[in-house]
Amino acid sequence: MIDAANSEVISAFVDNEPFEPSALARALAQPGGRDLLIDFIALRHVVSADGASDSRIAVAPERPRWRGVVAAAAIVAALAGGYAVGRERATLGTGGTGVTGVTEATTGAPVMATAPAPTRVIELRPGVEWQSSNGGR
Amino acid sequence: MTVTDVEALFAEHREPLFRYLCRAVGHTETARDLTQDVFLRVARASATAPSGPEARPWLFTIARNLALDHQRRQRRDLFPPPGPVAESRVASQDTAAEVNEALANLTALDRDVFLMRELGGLGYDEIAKVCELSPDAVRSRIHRARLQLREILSEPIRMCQTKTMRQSPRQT
Repeated sequence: MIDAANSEVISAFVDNEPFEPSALARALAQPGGRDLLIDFIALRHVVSADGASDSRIAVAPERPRWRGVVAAAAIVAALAGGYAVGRERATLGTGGTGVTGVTEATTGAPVMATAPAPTRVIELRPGVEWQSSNGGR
Repeated sequence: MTVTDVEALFAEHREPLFRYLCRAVGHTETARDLTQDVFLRVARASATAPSGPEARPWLFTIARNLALDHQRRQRRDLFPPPGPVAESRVASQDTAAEVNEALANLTALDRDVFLMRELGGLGYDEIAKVCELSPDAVRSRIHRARLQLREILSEPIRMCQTKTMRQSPRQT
């Protein structure tokens, strides 16, 4: 196998630096000398390729843009659905759809659809509790 | 140095500087920012900026210093020890990760020297100026780095040999 000291000339040759031709011939004649030359050239290719890689940095994968659109659509649908349900419940609460009697409030407690009977009646007799006059005080 | 000179430097050296910084810091966006920073510094120091063959080592010296500063700030995040590779990564990402992990096994100086040669396209003399080494030391370090990487990256190297190669791959 070729040793490091004798193989330096192969590096110099690969780098187009000055070298002794006889030293190169000796190096290439040694077992493994030619393989070393070819490996050095291949190494140059390997190192030169993908030199702009970001393999060191863990980059978060880019989120697809459609995800944002889907999220916005989901929010709009939720708002519209909530509005529709709320409106329907409000209508049921006033008895406008023909449903009479008791309806359910959001808490589940029964709610009267009609006004309760008065517990006290106040009568205003004209001239006693109530007087009419022209103009105000 | 005029604005036109700075623009000419930018046009000529932006790509190799960017490639070098990509591997040096391991992150494309950071490398892009640092490349911009290099030329901002060039513009600020235009009065004392060297020209001609001295310009390229000077630019890479600035780039290397910026990369080292960045690495000091983010030492914990950069070049973590090799670990299991996520299965979900596609093949090209696997290779890129393998290369970065292999580079992490080199000493900082060997890695810089190697990357300046392979991705920056600097000669041994130029790298020697940037890293304040002798050209012989640069040669030895590059060779040592190659031998180490050859061992670690034996599989990608073997795969690469199934395709047609050039001595110097085209830089895009």
